[in-house]
Amino acid sequence: MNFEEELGPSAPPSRRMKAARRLQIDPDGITMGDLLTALERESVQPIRDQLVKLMRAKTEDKSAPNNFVAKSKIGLGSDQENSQADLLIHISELIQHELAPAIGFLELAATDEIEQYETSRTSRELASLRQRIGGLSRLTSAHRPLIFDTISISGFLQAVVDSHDLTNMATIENRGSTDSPFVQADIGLLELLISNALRNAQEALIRLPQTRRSIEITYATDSQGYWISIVNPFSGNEFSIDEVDRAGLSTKGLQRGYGVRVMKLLSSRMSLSISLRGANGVAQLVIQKKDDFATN
Amino acid sequence: MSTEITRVRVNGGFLAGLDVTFSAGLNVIIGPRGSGKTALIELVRHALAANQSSQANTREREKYVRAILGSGDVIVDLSVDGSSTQVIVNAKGAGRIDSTSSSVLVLGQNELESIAADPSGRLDLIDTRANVDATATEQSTEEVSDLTLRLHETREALRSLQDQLRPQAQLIQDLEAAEARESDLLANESPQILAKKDHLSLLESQLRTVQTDAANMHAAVNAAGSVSVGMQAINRSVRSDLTATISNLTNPSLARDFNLFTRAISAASDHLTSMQSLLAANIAEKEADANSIRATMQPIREQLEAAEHGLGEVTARVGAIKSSLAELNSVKQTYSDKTAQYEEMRSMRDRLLEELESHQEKVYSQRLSAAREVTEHLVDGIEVSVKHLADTSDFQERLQSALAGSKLQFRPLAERMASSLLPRQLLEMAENDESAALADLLNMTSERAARALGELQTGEALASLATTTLRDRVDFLLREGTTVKPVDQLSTGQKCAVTLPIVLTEVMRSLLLDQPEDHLDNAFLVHRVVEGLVERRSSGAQTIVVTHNPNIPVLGAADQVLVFNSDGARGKVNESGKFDDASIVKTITQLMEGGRQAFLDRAKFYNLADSSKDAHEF
Repeated sequence: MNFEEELGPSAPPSRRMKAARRLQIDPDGITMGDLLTALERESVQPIRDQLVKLMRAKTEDKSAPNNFVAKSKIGLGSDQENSQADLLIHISELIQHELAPAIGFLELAATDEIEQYETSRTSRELASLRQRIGGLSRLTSAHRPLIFDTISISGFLQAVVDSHDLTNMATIENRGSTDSPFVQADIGLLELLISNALRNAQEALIRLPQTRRSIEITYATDSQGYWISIVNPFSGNEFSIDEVDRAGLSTKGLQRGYGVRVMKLLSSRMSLSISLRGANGVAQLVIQKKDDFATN
Repeated sequence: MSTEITRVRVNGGFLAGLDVTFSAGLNVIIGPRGSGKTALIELVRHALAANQSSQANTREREKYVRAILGSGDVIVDLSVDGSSTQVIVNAKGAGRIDSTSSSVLVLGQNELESIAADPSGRLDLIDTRANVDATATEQSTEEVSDLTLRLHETREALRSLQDQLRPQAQLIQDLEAAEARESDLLANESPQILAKKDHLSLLESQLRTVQTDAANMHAAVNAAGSVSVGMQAINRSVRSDLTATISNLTNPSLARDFNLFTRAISAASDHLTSMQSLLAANIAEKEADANSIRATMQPIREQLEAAEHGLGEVTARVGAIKSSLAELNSVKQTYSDKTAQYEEMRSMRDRLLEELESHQEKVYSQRLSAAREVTEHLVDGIEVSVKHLADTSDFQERLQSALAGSKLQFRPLAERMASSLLPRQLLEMAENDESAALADLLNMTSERAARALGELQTGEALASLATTTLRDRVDFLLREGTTVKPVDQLSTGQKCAVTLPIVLTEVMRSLLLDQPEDHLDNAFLVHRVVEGLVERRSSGAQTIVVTHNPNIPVLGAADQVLVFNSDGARGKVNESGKFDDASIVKTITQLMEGGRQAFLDRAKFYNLADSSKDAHEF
């Protein structure tokens, strides 16, 4: 098929619908990349429904023999799955072991060669690389028993924001009625979740003019639990968590790279509900805990 | 386009003698209740035929205007992109000009809420911002409807022609058998008999030609009859609608053109009648020729029958079959011509539908840009959302009406169809009888899908489908903590709080607001509304606000404050000036703050340290 002519923005909706219908019969007539692009652009709901149906058909087909690793990450329990978790932990330790010295050498060289290295972009990027590798390790430990600490949610959020060098771009506001926003949470996993969310917000902002680059973080706690909302502008059409989750299986891009699968896994481990919506140029991620963990 | 109301005068009625000029920035109208503030806003709305945010109260407004204007006029001077325009309008609306209707936005009391609650009101607001012309496609829509009806009629005609062509294969077989039998019978005949047979074949061929000519002429007579009916309808319409209207006008060029037009119609009718007479005469001639040929053939056939029993009969049969096949050839030609016509009409309609769709896409893109621009300027978690082709209400209603006579559960079916399909997609499914595709899309049995499509295959239903357009749906959303609330889930106050900032960012039109403070708290008014008013002035947009809240003239630093008063019988402007003119400050203190003492008491209550000093300065 001629992708641009049949599913591109200049094709009228009825032509796009025809193409989407035709592809139901021949799902191999479009690559996953083109399908994701079409879905990203598509704003007419009945056509989106057809494209999502198509994506489902394509991903289901491919999940047959080779994609078992992505699936088996969730819901560990059997001996085989436990040994896979051990293997993942081992691999992540190996990555850390092999990469940490390399990063150290890089840092050393950069300190020599770059004047004011501490405030340079190279320094920030290296810190981010370290953080990502650390994240890999923590991700594998997502399967360990949860370790709860009582944390100040505002202090925690501020620390994560600072570690991403987003202090000037992000605002943090308490929207709850209580002045003592302490909650019980697994710091390691929650940090990984919020870090992922912030990194995605940060990536979305890159395509926007400087004046629009802002991240609004709000939170609230009560006796029932807590919620955290991260709102940022983005350039693109609307999307929902399910679509992005599927997209996240195969590719990284603007709203494709939300790492939603990882965030969903972490949320599920911590019994948090997670929602993500993008519409009208605004993306909002909300995580919510509803139980009696929060303390006042 | 940038518009400004520069002056308003009223001759007659409650505001008789009123003559006010407005500043380009923020104008605030204050005064006690019943002094004519709202009357002025409504008179301006009436004079400029300003678009209503809601049509519901139009009749009451007209009644109100008749009561306050009586037999007088309202005169409004406008500046549009630097050019001056004046309208003089009476209570009945005489004197209005179309171009002013979209130049101002008037929001009377409680209209902020209704603009938010009404999907059309929200769409209109964004359309003005996006500069969308919603009427641009009306003519194409009519053409699409007409072409769809003609396509339906042609499809029916093609089906009937196909039925007529069905015996062709059998006739060819019959002819082969009859000709074989004829050859057998002629095998041992004398040369004289064979010569008679050849003569008979020649006559049969001539008869077929004459019959084909006559059939074609009959078709032409029928077509001319249809045209004649159309011409009569045009003549009636010209006599009843156009003649009286045109004869009232005194423009000589128009009269000359109209005269030429009526003469051309009359000449065309005469030519048509003459053609019909000529065709009738030719048909009679052909029929006479055919009778003469038949009369010549009859004795020859008898001679052949006498020479060999059965030969006359089989020769007659061969002739009859050939004659039927010749008729079918003519039908085949007609079928081929009609198929070509059908394809041509179809491609013409497809082109028009594509143009309409492209226009809708362009409009969506304009609306989306406008919505994003507005969202970027808003704070407090307000979003303007445009859902592409999401308003399926018209589609659903049309489907319900088309399916109502069926024994299907038409309401849920119509809802499902409207939410899963595009109108053009369904139109093509109905025209091409694609019930299997419909069944697959709606996950229903093919029997039910075929029945549903059957209901949509009438000319009327198809034309209705072809002209169905899905509209974009505009929503105002409020993000609150973890939830995003659409406008219909908001309280009255929230609706106003969401809508007013959106309205204030619309700087192309002059904006008239009647008591926007209703349903809003003072903090919101100070931080958001006043801020919006100040920004409007910075953008060069004019605002005229009727209010009882002192924050608007004072914190908005009104360029002009008009103070209204009334003796009960007549309202008038007592004074006017900038917000910080001494006399205006005094009036605001008295009228809006409840007087100096009340202000001081409040300041004391709030423990404002230097309040007495500030207050003494009034």
